[in-house]
Amino acid sequence: MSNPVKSKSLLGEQSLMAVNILPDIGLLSVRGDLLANFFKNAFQKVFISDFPEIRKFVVCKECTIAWMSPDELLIIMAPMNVKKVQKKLVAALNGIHSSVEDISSSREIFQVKGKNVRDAMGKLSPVNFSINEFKVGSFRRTRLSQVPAALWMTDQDIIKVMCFKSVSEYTLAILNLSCEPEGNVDHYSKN
Amino acid sequence: MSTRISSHGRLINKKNSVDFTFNGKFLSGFSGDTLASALLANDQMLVGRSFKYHRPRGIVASGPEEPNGLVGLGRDSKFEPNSRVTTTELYEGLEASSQNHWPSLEFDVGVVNNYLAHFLPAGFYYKTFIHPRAAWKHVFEPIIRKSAGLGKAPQERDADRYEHFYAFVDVVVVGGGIAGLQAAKVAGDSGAEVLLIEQSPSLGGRAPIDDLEIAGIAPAHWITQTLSELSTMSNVKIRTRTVGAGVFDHGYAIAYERISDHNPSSQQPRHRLWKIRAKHIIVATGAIERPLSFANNDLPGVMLASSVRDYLINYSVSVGDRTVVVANNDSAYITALELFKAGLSVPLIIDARPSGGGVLYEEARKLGIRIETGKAISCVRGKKRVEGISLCDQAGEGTILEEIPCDVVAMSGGWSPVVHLWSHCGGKLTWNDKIAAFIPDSGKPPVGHHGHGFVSTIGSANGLFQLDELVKNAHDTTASVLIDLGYEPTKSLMPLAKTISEEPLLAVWRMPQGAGIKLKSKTWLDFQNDVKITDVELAAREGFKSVEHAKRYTTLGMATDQGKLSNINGLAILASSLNGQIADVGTTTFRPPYTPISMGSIAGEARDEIFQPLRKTVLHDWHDQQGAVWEPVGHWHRPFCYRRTEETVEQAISREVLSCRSGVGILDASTLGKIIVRGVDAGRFLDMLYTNMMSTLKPGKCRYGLMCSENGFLIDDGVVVRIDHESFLCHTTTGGADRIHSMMEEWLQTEWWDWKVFVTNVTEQYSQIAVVGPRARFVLERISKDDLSPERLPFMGWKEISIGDIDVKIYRISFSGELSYEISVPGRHCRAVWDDIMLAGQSEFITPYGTEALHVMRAEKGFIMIGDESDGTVIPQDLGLDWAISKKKEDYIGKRAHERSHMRDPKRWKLVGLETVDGSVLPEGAYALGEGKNVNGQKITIGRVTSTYYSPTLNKGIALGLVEFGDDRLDEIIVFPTLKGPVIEARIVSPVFYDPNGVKQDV
Repeated sequence: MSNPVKSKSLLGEQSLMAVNILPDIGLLSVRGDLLANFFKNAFQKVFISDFPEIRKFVVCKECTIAWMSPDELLIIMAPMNVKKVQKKLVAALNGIHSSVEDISSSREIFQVKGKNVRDAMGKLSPVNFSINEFKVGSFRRTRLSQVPAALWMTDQDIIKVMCFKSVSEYTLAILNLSCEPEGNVDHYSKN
Repeated sequence: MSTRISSHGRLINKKNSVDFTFNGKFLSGFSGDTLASALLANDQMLVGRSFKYHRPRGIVASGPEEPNGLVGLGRDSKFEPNSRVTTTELYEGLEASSQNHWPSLEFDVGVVNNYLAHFLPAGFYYKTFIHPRAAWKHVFEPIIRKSAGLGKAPQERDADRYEHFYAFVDVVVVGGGIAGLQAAKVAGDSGAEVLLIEQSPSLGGRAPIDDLEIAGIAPAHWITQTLSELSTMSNVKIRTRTVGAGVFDHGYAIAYERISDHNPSSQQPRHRLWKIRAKHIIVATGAIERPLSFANNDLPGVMLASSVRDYLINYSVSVGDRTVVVANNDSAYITALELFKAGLSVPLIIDARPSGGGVLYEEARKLGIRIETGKAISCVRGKKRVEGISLCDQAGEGTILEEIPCDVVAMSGGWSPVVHLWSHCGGKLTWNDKIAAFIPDSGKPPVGHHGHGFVSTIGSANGLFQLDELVKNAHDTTASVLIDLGYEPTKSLMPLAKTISEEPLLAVWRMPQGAGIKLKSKTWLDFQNDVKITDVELAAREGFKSVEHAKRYTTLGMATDQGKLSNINGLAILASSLNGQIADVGTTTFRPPYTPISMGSIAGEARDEIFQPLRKTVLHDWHDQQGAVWEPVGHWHRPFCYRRTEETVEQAISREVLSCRSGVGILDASTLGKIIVRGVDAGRFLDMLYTNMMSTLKPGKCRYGLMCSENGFLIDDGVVVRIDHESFLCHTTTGGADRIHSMMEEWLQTEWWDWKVFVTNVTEQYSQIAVVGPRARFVLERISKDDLSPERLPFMGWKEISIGDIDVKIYRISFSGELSYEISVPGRHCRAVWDDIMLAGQSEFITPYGTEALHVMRAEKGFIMIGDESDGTVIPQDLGLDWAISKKKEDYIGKRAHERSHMRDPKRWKLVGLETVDGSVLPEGAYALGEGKNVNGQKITIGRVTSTYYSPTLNKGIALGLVEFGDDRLDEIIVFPTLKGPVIEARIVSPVFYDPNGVKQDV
């Protein structure tokens, strides 16, 4: 799929919203007991970083690590690193009940950017996007209208959205529609 | 005559005129008008015909309670029936048409029903159309359906778009009157997140109309001041044109925002449905004035007293020169005083109370307005509008004392608090004699998970109609809600309001008290549904004692207004007919939505191409370019076949099947479910999930397996691949991927939580390409250097190979009975591998094939298909799959169920092959007939067709079916009746039609 950029200028620069598909991504799904120290220690041999808290993600040198559930992490990285990281992790977790699967081809990630990003996303996901609740570093597993999705905020005006690859076109269409400036809700953006 | 006057008009801009049409007539109003005020300004009193008797009806109210003023709005793709004129904002070019009449609003043939009213009482339909029984379906129902219903259904696709919005707040305040604003202020000051919603375009509610005082200033000033304070609070959000539509469990509320109804040419969405999670819901929805029940109270020109002054003060509309006010309470005096002060004539105020009212009564008297106390209206005079009234004693039977000519009757029977939102989720009501209305029982609120109430009512919605007590109630209630939520509501001061002392109202449920049948049969309770006092009395006499039954029998309180005006009056009549108390009769159930919401808002953005997510494989575009005829499989679209220009679909399927049987075919099997099961207990886990043994499978090998539900019924099948000592890959059916993954997680999280197994759904990670046919190996050997010989990669084996520089897994499994390979490749490399295979297969005429060729080939081999041969009542044993059920295993899901006597019954219908005697194709789903009839007189059936195809390989029809005693009846001929024509005879044969020894797949 190409890299469509949506932009409208009817309401001026302030309300410009852009939806982009991020090019190739590398993804590892890691399962294990996140509360167990031996798992944490083994994991941190590979990733010298903080462990993500519940519904949060952390950014380390070459990747982003997101909390998915009490026994699952998602690691987002450049695609060329996936095999290498997977190998290292499997080795580090040797003997510990765990699984490390490459799921890079199965997901699509979008970047939704603009001043009204919270309002745009509030049309699709039953998530509290208020500034006090959903901050840079927040991560949610939820749904986007009719499809499962994960969302995380990387900047005040950027929310990343991950969905299954097979529904990528649907997701792009609903994101674009939600970002139409004429439909701006002006709920979260009131200051 | 109803007209615009020069004074007043607080909501309109007289400099800005707006043109519109009503029934094609060009009219003009002002910006800020509602359609109702603009129609009245143009002397359009008659706006519609009543539902049953087609009586002329005019506007009664000025808000969402309006029962009569319903019009069709717009045209074609922007047409909306049943739009309330009182809540429709006027816009340039608005087109409205009245409803429920023929041929015209002024001259309606249906009015003949009015003269037949005696023959159309409550329950008329139930009594009349019950005999003869058969006539209902064929005669009565079609006719009644044609004459039933208000408004016309739109004929075109809706041109507008709609959306949803999720909001999370501490407090949602429903209603932007004085009470709601004060609540928002108190909550906002304390730092809570507040959402204030108001159904109309303007905030402030009724207070600015009723000439009161708050905090030493006029309400209008106080409202402006408060709004400006609220606008500076980032934690307070205000939405106008947004009605609180429903309250549900756990502080969930829905609100309906009408974004662009008043500006339909804009690009904005039309409606937005808000889905709000609130820690507390404050209901400040005010109260609705009640009509009085006197004869001909439905004539155009009889209106609620408050609405008469709304039109005057808000929209500069005088509904008539001479207004008779009739009331049982003090509030209607405000209308008389305002009309008088505007220079209009008030010939008479009729007060049903023998001793009249309080301060306002005195003021009216001092101004010289004639007041008759203890009196009533015996009857309203006029044909299509009010021409006068007959005065009588309230205590009497209606003997006329005097005829008084007038154009308008402004009535007030007291006020009913709007308790709908309080009641939606179980808040209880209590009868209050002082105001003769149901009010929220604060001791029995709707409760949340913590056992505390999560809804509070404030202000008039609580039955407090005096401004001072209303403000105090709003302030105090909100403060205590905030304390419960952990906020400190210390900053706000409570504004003091001036109050006017009022005399109590007199409960008046009919006028006059002793009205006889002649008057009562012309006294309307429900204007929208044409329900009169006599109808409710009849219902009571016929035994409909429950208010819910009486409602349905009489239609009181049904349809678009849901009895906002009629309910209490109807209940009171029912109670008195039953010699009971109103409190005991109770109310009908208040259900969401409070006012009708559009279907579009419920659907949200889901329409056209985003109506439903469509799942596409990475090869979707390729298939499309090759002429794929699509088949929906779950949410996926898969090629059914690839039709070439000169072919029919049937020809395409035959070509695809024959190519696979004689050369080589290629299939996109990517939608198959793929689940990785990993961990030291993985083998043990799969032994429980599958009926056969999986733990013994060797790495490098594949095995077909079956899954059953706890009740033993077959739910899924597929090939399991052993990857290494601790990991397996389970293939599921396309539709089963998510379901089986969830089932695995459920067992692991609930029952076998201590087993060391992780499952990962990798369905979309790996695309799967099937290369099928005698030339399959030849083609693959051209693009892979790896050894694919039967010795190195035997049937039911798998290995890792490279195609070009891409690493793939290749499984030698077959669903067609041919030499077959399935190549598993990460999605992003799939297209490259597919293209390589297509190129390598060119010389062999490699043929892409779709799901139907796949189905035909599997049926030729007698392979079952989940959903065809299984339907949730079929066990593996029915399908001759006993070989795939382990006898050695101690347990597996479904094992116990398989032991039940019914499951072991030899008479169970079992899988067989079916061949018609004449070679034709059996109809899908056909049933085979046995001898005789069952206890219900139906023919005995002994089997049915589960799959049926034309087999191009065998050049005849073949079918699979389930038949009593199964293959014990081999070679027997059974008969299948058809809907038209003779029965079809079919011979029971082996289900394996092609290559019964399996030679071809194992080469």
